[in-house]
Amino acid sequence: MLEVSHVTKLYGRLAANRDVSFSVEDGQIAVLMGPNGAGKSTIIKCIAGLLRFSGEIRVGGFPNKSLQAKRQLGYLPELPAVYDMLTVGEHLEFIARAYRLQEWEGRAKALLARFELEDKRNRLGRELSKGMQQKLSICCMLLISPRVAIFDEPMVGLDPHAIRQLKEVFLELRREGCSVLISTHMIDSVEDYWDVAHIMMNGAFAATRRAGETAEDGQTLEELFFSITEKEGRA
Amino acid sequence: MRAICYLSAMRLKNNLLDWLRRPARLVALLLFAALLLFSMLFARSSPLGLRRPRSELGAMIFLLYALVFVANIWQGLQTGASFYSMADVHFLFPAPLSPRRVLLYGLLRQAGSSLLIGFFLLYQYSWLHSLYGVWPDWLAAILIGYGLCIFCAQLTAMALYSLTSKSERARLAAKAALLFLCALAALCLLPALFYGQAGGLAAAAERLDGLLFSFFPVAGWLKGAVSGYMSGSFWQQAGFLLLFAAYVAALCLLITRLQPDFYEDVLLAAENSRSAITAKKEGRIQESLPRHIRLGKTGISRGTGAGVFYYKQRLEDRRSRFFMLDTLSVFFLVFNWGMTLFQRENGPIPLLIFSTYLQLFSTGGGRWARELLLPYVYLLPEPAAVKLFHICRESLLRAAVEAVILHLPAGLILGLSPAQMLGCIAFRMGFALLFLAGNILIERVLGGIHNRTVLMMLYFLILLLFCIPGVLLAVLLYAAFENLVLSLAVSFLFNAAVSALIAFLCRDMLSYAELNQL
Repeated sequence: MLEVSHVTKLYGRLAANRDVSFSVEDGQIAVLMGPNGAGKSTIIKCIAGLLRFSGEIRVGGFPNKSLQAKRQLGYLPELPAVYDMLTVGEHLEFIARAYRLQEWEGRAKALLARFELEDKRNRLGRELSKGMQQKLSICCMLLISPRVAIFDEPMVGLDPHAIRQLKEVFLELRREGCSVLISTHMIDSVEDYWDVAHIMMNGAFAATRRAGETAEDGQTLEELFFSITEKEGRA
Repeated sequence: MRAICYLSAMRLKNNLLDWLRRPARLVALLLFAALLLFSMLFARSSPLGLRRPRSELGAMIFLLYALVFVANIWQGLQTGASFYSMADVHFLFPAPLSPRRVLLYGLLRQAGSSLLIGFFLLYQYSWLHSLYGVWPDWLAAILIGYGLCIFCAQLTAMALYSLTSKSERARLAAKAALLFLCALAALCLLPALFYGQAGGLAAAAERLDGLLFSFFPVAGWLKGAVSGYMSGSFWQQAGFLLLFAAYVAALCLLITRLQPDFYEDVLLAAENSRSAITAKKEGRIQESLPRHIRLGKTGISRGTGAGVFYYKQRLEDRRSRFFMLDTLSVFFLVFNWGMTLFQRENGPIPLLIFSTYLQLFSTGGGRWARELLLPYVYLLPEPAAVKLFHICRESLLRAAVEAVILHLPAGLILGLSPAQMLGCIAFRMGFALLFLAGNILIERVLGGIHNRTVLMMLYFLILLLFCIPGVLLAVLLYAAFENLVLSLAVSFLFNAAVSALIAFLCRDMLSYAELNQL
């Protein structure tokens, strides 16, 4: 489970996140949506323990910066993060060794096959296209079998096959009881599988919708998104 | 042609307007101009009898030009010439413009940039005037020669790249030819260094300033022209400049006739240039990697938890360079050995001081800094202090190897005892630890600053302040007890203790990536 309580992140006087609170239950997919600069990536990075913030974040019941929390947390950054001088296979080996995983080879092979990287096993990170680097980052993240998985704009740069695979991964993680948080501004990419959607504007939540709820005025998620973001834009 | 003239005029105009819109930059520029003027107006020339030999000036000019020429060609053989930006690639190349005009545009822009790069030379006026009696117009000639050298090197690189990019063999042949030229030059210099009547640096300077080296391609010709100007010999200037002009014309002909479609040849350089600019803007470290990388044995094979970072870095080292040491470290090593050889009568102290000074420049890099820019080290469920140690292990090993490689041969040259050599190695290791700890502290405290000028100034200031106590301690102990080994050992212990303290204070650095703007 992921719990975010009253998190505020300031850059000087600019509040990138203002008193943000939400939770993602086990076996739930939560989506963070919002225009550019809404604060989605900032809150994601706070959860991943990369930024200082005020407030509290707990991963599986532990403070997010604790070792116990880090063992359970998987994070996919917005920009692919690969080592130029390591091959695809060595990236997975590196993660397996770093996280002290046991019997990881079979899982690694399956992940590479799933994301069509098997034949690129001996290619260096710098030789991969951006999309391939993104796929490799996904494989590295999934190898540790996280209990809480956070994805920051995961579909950018992926081909249609990889996008479909990733969507299946989201559903599998949910079935396995993982708490999944996805940040995106591609609404149609998450239409089929979200459980709860938070719309962010100017560092705070402007609206929250649960799947299956019918809004009083009968708005779809997309319509709700545009009505909020365009209203704020005009204001 | 009108389109290109319009483009050039608009760029120049907007650049000037940009300067006017940034008062801080303008003030900095005025300050630099004032400093330059001040140094020129108040420079004092030494009496004739105390001036250094003019041949040393000629030798320095030749070495500067030759280094710049060879380095630019070497780099250019990998990626071609970087005359053009990605914007030029996107707009000019597809446009219905004659490739020759586009080439001319690139050449003129490059000539302007080359001249600007050499402006640091103007700040050398004070000591050049004092030691060699250099006048402002002479310095201007040296600057113009420097600019022309860079320009010509880029042009040569472009021509060579055009001819060799399709064939790895041809490229290797071009590299071999360049190395052969340098080896030939070194062979011509060696006898003067070791065997002449006087021997040593003075004879080497005479040889470098002589007629033989004036025929070294481009660097020698330009140095010959500059020397001709300084000595007032019109025919010497004219002769060498004519040679240079003929060479440039031949290269342009080669590019436009034999390889009229040169766009592809500059594309890689433009992309690399753009990648470097983007990396700089994002605060990332751009590693200079070989074009072709030998994979060798795959797999990390060792290390678990945070320890895997060390073995991963060793693997990356193997793939990105020949030796444990990078090019800059090797260059400094050779420089230090050379200095030891020619100054051996002064004992080990000059080497220790000078090599420590150079260490300031070679310590800044290291794979540990690159780890800070990727999320893995922050996410890994291991204690922050343990992670910090393991990502620095590779740098420590490299420093140890460097210390041994430097001081064993240097110790033999100086006739030091094994204990003294060990002391020198320990002294260097102490400063390696200190500078590494200093770098960590700078990252911890100043990592959020992306202004490279400010960062570099603070970096050197902080490291200089750090190294003063260790140096002072060593000097005082040596003065008091005249025991080299004791003073070096104590200096090492002091620096190691300070480094450990700094590392301890910064142990939580990897708790969050805040400072690296991930």
